[in-house]
Amino acid sequence: MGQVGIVDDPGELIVYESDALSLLSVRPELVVLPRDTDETARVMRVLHRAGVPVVPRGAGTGLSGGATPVQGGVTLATTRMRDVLELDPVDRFARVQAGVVNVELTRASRSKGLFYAPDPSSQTVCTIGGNVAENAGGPHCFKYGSTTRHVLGLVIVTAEGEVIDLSEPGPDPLGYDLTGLFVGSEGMFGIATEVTLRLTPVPPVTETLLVLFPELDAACEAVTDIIAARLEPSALEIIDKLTIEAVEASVYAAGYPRETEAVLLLEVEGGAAEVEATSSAILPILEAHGRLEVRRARDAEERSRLWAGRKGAYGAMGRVGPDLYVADVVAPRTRLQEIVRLATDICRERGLLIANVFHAGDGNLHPNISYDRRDREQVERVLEAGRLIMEACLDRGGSLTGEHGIGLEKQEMMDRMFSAADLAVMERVRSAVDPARLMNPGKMVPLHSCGELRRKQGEGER
Amino acid sequence: MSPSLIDRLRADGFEVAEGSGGAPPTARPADEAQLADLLARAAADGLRVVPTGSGSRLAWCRPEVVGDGVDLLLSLARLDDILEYVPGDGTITARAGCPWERLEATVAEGGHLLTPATAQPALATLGGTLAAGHSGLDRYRFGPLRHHVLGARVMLADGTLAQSGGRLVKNVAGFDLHRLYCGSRGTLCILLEASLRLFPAPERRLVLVTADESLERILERAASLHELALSPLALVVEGEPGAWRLHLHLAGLAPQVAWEREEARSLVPSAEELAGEEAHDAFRKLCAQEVEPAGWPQLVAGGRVRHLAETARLLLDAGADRLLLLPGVGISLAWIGGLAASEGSGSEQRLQSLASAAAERGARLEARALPARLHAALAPRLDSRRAFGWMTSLRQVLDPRGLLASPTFPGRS
Repeated sequence: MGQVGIVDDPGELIVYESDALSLLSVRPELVVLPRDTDETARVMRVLHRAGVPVVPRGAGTGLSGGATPVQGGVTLATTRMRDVLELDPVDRFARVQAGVVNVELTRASRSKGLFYAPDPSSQTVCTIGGNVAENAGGPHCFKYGSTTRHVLGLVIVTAEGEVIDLSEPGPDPLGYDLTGLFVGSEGMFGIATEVTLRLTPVPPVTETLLVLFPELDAACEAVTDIIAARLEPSALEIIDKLTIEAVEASVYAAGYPRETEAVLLLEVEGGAAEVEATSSAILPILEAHGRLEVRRARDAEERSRLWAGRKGAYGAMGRVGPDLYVADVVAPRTRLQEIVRLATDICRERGLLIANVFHAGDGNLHPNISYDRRDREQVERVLEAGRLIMEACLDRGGSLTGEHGIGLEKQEMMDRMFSAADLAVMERVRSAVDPARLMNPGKMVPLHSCGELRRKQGEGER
Repeated sequence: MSPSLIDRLRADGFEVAEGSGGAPPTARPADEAQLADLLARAAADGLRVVPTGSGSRLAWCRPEVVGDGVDLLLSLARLDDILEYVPGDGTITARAGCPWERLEATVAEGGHLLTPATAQPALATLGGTLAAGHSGLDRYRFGPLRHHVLGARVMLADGTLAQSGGRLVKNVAGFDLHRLYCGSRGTLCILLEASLRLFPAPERRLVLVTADESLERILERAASLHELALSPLALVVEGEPGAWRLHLHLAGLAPQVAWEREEARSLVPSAEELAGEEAHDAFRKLCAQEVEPAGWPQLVAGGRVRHLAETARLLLDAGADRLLLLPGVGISLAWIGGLAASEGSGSEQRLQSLASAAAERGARLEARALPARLHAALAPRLDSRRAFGWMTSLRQVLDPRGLLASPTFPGRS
């Protein structure tokens, strides 16, 4: 692979100690950066023979510790696999290497009148391979769906170093839907080195509205009613006052009014008539919930600025506190306001600063808690608040995660969402594709769900 | 299964119907406990079982049920409740035996639409449709059915009950096993319940139909419509040599439909037009064509959109009596009457060469409603691709005794 594909300098390895969940960090033994499928397969064969665990990594923007290294393990990063291999405007797909940055694919497709729909906040940095591993979302997934709806095929390198090509020519899989199974498997089934992705025609008209509300509750209720009315904007994002203040004080300043308690960033796409009809149906709902003002983006530049503010919100929160715990839970869309209020109460009761910026249309909440990791007692309170928010969601029919994954962060909560039998079946499936459990071990499925590992540990203890 | 065993099951309170036309008997468990009991008895007696809904897709998915390949069908038809429909969330959860028609009617009351638009909604069940992995003619807009399954509850062959996913439109907790089960044709587990994402019912429907005697010409027109990047519910070309029809079904908010109509009319100015309920009826009839005439042998070719015309021509040259094509999706359905009458190894060779020719055009050929022998001729060999190694391992961990195994799916030994 050459020296450029290997990182073994202790100073350089620090970069790979954690993903964006910086609370958890482990120094990897080694980082390898293969250039293509063949190099990846050769590396994996060597590591498999040596029994070395492997942690796949894209750009390291994950927020659940999915790419946290494991002791004695090697991190395999896909960031040198950056080529767009094929772009077909007739069949509307692109075949790319796993390390292609999300937004680069949209840039490459624009000239063909196409774009790649999933748009996580980190899209200027995060890689397609990472998006596949986590089944990444983003604001526009409300209309277009998460990553899994856009992955048409994969080339996978297994734990043993075998190459499995799931790039089917047809619209349906040959046999079982292994592609669907692989997406969102958090690097535990192998490494995707090439991905075939569906591209979407750029809509003729896009209208972006910034809706100002006197309180957060009203914004949540408006979203619930828009969904109940079966209207289909392409994005419905809520940003609360604390986030607005942070964004407006940062380089991401988007012109959000600082005095407003909450804004709803709403986008409608389609033909001109469709956009007008949808917007016209939405406006009375906003009014019924006491909206203060509706501002329309006048041009593409203004639209970009509004979105830059939303997508830069996490970065901007650095102004509020040195560290940020970005929670990611899902509430049934009929109970949005209830869960947002609960999360706020949980944090306030613990003296924590909470900011909300979230994909309201999908019920995907991101209560963001500012803290200082040097304050261990505060860290404990943050983790407790995070756990209570997750429990509140589960108690109301929600989920532990909408787009960040389980990773290490939420692993111990999996028991609250799934039964022992559910988790045991997940382990059975995992054992079918990685019997030695060398791929990203110790993530997602709680250790105690794995009977074989439990037995091994028991033997070790004896 | 011997008649005495049927009698024993009946004596133990199971509802069992004898099979007809060479089909095995069908047990219809009243609840999950009975289903688990039946699986345990089948395992003890070494029986081969196939889970079914109404059985409307068995000839497509598991042709071995006619003959001596299967001992017992397990119908989920009595487990048919709708468990939860939440209009405000746009989701529905039901038991596997629930008829598709009932699901459609329920969500329509709340202003929702369900995909796929299946050919036989009165017969098709939720579980059967998912197990078949059957997507409808509306996949032009909605994509395949597997994209809209939010979660599932299943019973493994050993009686284990397990859930994956949930009832939410967005959720990435745990492995997406429901995606694996969707389209697995009952070979991995028995689907008990599933949750689906719903879509807004259209405010207006409109269909444009145009005819042409040339297949190539009408496919060019379809390709031009596809390039317009509209979002029709369906874009279909169907017919027989010399008489082809193009159907463009528009549905959505009234202004959107009106705009898309104008755009489309520039390419098909003389198209016949139907609106409202007439358009809806026309769409239902078009969907029904997928299974008509009943039991008629079909070949399905899935490939790239850009090669659709070549694949269609290949199927016609191979003797197709009728075609139904999905431009923009890349699927060709061919009805080849001669295949039903084919006997001897010549027909297998003919099919295999047709499959090779389709593969050269980037398409994969699959059989529907063909005799099991011909079906097997098109099934891939399990040692032909590395992906089958994973599939075999998955089947082994989920059903180690092979109770639900098929001789041809996901491939043949």
